[in-house]
Order: sequence, then structure tokens, then C-alpha cells
Amino acid sequence: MTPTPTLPAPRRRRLTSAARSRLFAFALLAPAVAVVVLVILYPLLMAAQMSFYDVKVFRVARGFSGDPHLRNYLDMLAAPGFWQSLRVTLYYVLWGTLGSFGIGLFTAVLLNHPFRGRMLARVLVVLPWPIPGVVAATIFMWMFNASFGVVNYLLLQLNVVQAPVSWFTQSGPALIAVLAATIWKGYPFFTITLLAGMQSIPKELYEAARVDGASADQQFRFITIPALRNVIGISLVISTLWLFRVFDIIFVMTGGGPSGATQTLAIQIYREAFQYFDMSYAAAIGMVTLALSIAATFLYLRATSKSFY
Amino acid sequence: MRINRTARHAVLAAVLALSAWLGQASAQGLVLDMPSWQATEPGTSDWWKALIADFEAENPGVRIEFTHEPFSGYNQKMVTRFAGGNPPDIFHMPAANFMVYAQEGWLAPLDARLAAAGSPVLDTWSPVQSSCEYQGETLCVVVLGYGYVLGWNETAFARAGLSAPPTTSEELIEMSRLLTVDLDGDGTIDQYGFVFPTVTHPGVEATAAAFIFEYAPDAHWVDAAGDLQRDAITYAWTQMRRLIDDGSVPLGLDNNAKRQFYVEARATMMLEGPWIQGNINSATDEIRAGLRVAQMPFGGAVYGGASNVLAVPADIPAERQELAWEFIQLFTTPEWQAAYATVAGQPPARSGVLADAFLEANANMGTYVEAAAVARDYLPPTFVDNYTRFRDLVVEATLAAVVQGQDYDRVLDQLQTDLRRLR
Repeated sequence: MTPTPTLPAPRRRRLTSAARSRLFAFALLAPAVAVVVLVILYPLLMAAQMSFYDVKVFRVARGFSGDPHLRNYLDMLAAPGFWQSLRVTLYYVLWGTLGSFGIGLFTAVLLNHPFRGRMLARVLVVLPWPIPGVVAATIFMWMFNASFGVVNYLLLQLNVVQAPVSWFTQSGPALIAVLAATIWKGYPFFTITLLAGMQSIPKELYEAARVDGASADQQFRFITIPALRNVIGISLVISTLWLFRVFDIIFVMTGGGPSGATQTLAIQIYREAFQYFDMSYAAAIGMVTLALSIAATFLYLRATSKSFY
Repeated sequence: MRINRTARHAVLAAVLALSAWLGQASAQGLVLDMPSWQATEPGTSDWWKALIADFEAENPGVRIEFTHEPFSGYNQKMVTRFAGGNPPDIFHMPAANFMVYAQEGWLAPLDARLAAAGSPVLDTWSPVQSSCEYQGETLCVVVLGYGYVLGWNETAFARAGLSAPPTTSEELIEMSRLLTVDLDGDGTIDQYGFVFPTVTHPGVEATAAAFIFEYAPDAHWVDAAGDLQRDAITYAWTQMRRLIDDGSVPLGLDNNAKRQFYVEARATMMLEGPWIQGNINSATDEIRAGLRVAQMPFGGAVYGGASNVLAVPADIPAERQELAWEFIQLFTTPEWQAAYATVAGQPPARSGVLADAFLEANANMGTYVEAAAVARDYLPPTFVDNYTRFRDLVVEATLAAVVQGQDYDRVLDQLQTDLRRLR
């Protein structure tokens, strides 16, 4: 009897330490990824799909019926209302970002210098940040009230205007009022991030510059701003994305009026979806807004990605 | 695994408690869900709660859970519930949103039930009950049909040497000018003659339509072909702009601020539905003593319509549908219709249920009832299906023409283009 040849037992492959570490990291991330997929990616894909159908009120159980088409996008491109909302959005995002950034940078520079009561000043400066948008909007509505608002009172006292300005009935003033509330609510974010960035700049750089005879203005232009480039880039991205989706302040103050003068894409999406119940059309506008947000993010990051150190 | 005796006893006790609770819940019978934005409104909520208590007494084992949902966002929440397959059992909704539910097939037709019951809704109901019809079927019952009235302040009138409210729009404009005054001489207007919303708000459409109805009682914003009634609209915008040009109207107010101006005597006149009574009741004693209501100061038709309605959802079990219908039937009885006036302070949808003595003692109610009886529906027949979008377009056009002073023809041309696209 010949002995049966036996095969050697397969050798279990052992993971390297680095691979095990990576696997562990993925395992830790998995729940977060699952949540993101479930609550962000899935609805996003659903909205993208919806934009190619005719859905008035979406019902998950019913799904989509009919053939996919581009009609919502074509209607959108042909509608003057969409182009007006797009113009208002770009204007609102541009001035909202610039205004918030300017005031944020100014207050950050102020708070970066030691002075008596700096802690209290820091608290006061960032106070608008945690205030809910609806509350901020209501405060500004009263401030800009045509008959009893403090803004008109000051303008009249200073002889800037000869008669009270009716802020919410004219296109230009309405947009200014909405922007004022938005900037007031948004600038503390820049203050906080830029201040944190300024405090991480090595003191030696300033000392060396002073030794070389650089003025305060030159130190600011050639050390502070370049050193803050990455912080500024990220802050601008976050702020821009926030402004693209601001809803509460505008809706409470003007509802998008007068005559669409303050109707951003976010407001138009809401109205199409939840006032007119045309969810497919709203989804098409949403996709355009998403594309704009991604483009803005890409541009900012590209412009500010160069490292200072 | 070993479970010690204490743990076993704890589990047993929990199981028994759960069984007892489930048994109790079952004994309580059926619970009908009825959300409403009026569940906390003084007066109206008292009437709803009394009606519900009566229904529960007539139907032992059935309970109605009457829950409050804020008006802002009410429609969105209800649409979400219907779309998610979880509609309420008794559906109370603003009439302006009716079409969304009708078009989706979410409401049960009531015609057979109305006919079988010989319901008063068929013959003695509000003239705006027709707004509950969709494709030849009746899908709801009007709770409140209204006509607009003029709120005026007798104290301010007397101070200006005026004795009676205006009866034409020319008188309204003239009196508004006289009633706009700087009371304390500080250079700021303290009292305006008239107030209407001048920012993006549905109330802008209501004000303009009231003037349109004055100009041509049979006209609306558009004719049957969807063409704008340019003469009537131009007249309405001209009258409104004259009021603004005179400085008789405070600018930048929405409907809530408009009402606040009236109850604080900062504005002397405003147009409003019968719910103005709630505003009048909220004024201080001194101001309330002078607040009055009168019929609309225009000839022609009275602006009005259905405010809110009751419906039976189509996608709930038959037993619940039957109970919801029984609730609606109870609501239509003369007793509960009369109580709508005496308790809720609103004109009942059913005609002839209020005693003469009551109407004599409550002059305002008589005015509301009279206005509701002759009101013309604010819904333009051509744009019933997409009224919300239509309304928003005419609101923006009216603001552009009246408040921003843009050229009427240009605004009308743009509005006509937008409406054509809408159809």
C-alpha cells in the first residue's frame, strides 16, 4: 500500500503591522462613512435622479415613472426667474463674503494686540456667531423698519438722507438690508479663524522684520497675510458654502422680494419644492447650485494652496 | 447563562406591566389624529375642543387627538405626512392649499356621503363651498367662508371731524389723507390713514383684488382665456399708488405688522377678513373702544373666499374614514354652526343658524355674516390649479407697479408673459 501524499496546510497570510493599522482606521471610519452615505450621498443621488423626471411630490414607495428627460434643465435655462436668482446669489455671495471677511480681518487684527479688556472684547465680537439666523433677521428687520428703525433715525440725524428709506420695498435697499444682517452674522467666523491663524505665526518673523526696518503695514502685507493664506482659503470656502445655502435670514426679512430682488437660488429651491410642489424643477436648480459650490471651492483652494512656510 | 431569582422577577414584572398597559390601550379604543394650527387660538380652539368632546361623547371608545401644529410650515408638514403614507384621520387644512392634495388624489370624494345624508352642505352652505370641488367631485367641506370687511377707528375719525366710514374708494383715499397725522408734532407721522402690506405677502394680492372687484364686479385678474384685465388692474394699482403717494400708508409692513398698526391705533383703516375680531380683542381697552368694522368701502363685489376646510383622507382605513365623516356631519349641525359664531367668533358656513337677537347684540358678527354671504371667491378660475404660483406673480407685479413705481404697461406685459408660461 502506497502512502497517500498529503498536501501541506495552506499558510495563513499574516497582515503586516501597517496594513493592520490601516484596516483598523477604516473600521473606525466605517460608521461615519455609512452615515454620510445614508444621509448625504443617497439623498443627493436621489435629487440628481429626480431632476430628470416630473415629480411634484416625491414618494419613495412610488419611485420615478416615465422616461428621464432634460426638460427641467431646459425650462430652468429659459426662465428669466432662474437667471435673476443666479445673479442675486452671486452678488449676495460675493458681497457677503467680502463684507464678512473684511470686518473679520479687521477685528482679528484688533484682538490680536494686547489691550485692557481684550477678553471681554473677544466675547462681544464673536457674539453674533451663535445667534440663530431667524433671531438675527428679526433684529435687523426692526433696525431697518422704515417708520421706527434705528438705521433710518441715524441716517436722518446725520443728514445722509432727507426722508426715511423704505428698506424692504425697493430692490437695492432690500438687498443691502439682507446683506447687512448676513455680514453681521457671518463676520465672527472669520474673526475666530483668522485670529487663531495669527496667533500661530512665529513671533521671530516679526522680530526679524522689525530688525530689517519693516513698518507695521509691511509686516502685515508681507508676513501676516501670506502666513494666513491657507486659513483664509479654508475660511473663504466654508463661508462661501454657507452663503450659498443661507435661507433663514433672507426668508424672514424679505421672503425673496421685492420683485425677486433678494431671491437667491436657495430661496427659489425652497419655493419651487415646498410652495409650488415642483420637486423635480427644484432638484434641477439644486444641482446647479451644487455645481457652483464645487466650482467656487475648487477656485478658492487652488488660489490659496501655496504654502507660506 | 444563569439568571438569578431577582432578575427573573424583574423580567416577569416588566412583562406583566407591559401586558396591562397594552390591555388598557386596547380598551381605550380608537384614537383619531387631527392636527390643526388653530388648536391654541383663543376662541376658535375652544370651539374645536367642545365639538371634539361632543363627538367623543357620541362615539364611546373613540378619542380625537387634537394636536397643535404651527401655521408656518403646516402645509409642508402635512404634505410630507401624506407622501409618507401617514395622513391624519381628520384633515383640517387652509383652503389655499386644497389643490395640492386634490391633485395628488389624497382626499376622499364626499358627494355620495353628502347626498345620502341629505347634508346641509348641498344647499345652505357658504357660496365658496365650490372651492372644494376638483374634477367634478366634492373633496372637502368649508369651515370658514369669509368676505373682507373694513376695520376703522371711530376715535381717530372723530378727532379728524369725520363721522362715518368711507363708502367709495375715492372717499377712502380722501379720508386716509385727513387721518394721516403727526400727533405730537415731532415731525414723524404717528397715525396713518390706511394700511396694507407693501412687502412680499399674499395680502398684497388681496388688497389689489379688492380694488379690482370694485372696478368691475364680474372681473378678476384674468379672463377665461388667461388674459389680464388690464383696465381693472390699472385702476386698482392707481388707487393703491395714490394712497402711497399721499403718504397715507406706512411702507415696508407685512400682514402681521399691518394688523399690529391697526390695533395700536397707528393706522386708522385696513381691509381684513372676519378674523379681524381676534385683533380687535387683543387691543388695549382704550383703543378697542373705538375699533369698528364696516362693509367694504367699495361698490362692486366683496373680496372673499374659503379660509379653511375639513376633509377625509383617501388612504386611511374605511372605519376611520367613516368616523371622520361622522365628525364632519356633527360639525354641520345647526347647534355647532351657531356655536362657531358664539364661541369662536367667526361667521358660520351654514346660513340661517344665528338668532336675530344674537346678531343685534353683536353688530360685528352681523357684518361678517353679511360680507361672507355676498363674497366673491378670490380664486381666479383660470389659475385654480396653480394658484400659489399665480398669486406670487401678481404680488410681485403689484409691488413693482404700486410701491416701486414702475411703468404699469411694462409690468403688465411682463406679468402676462409669466402667466402664459405658467399655463
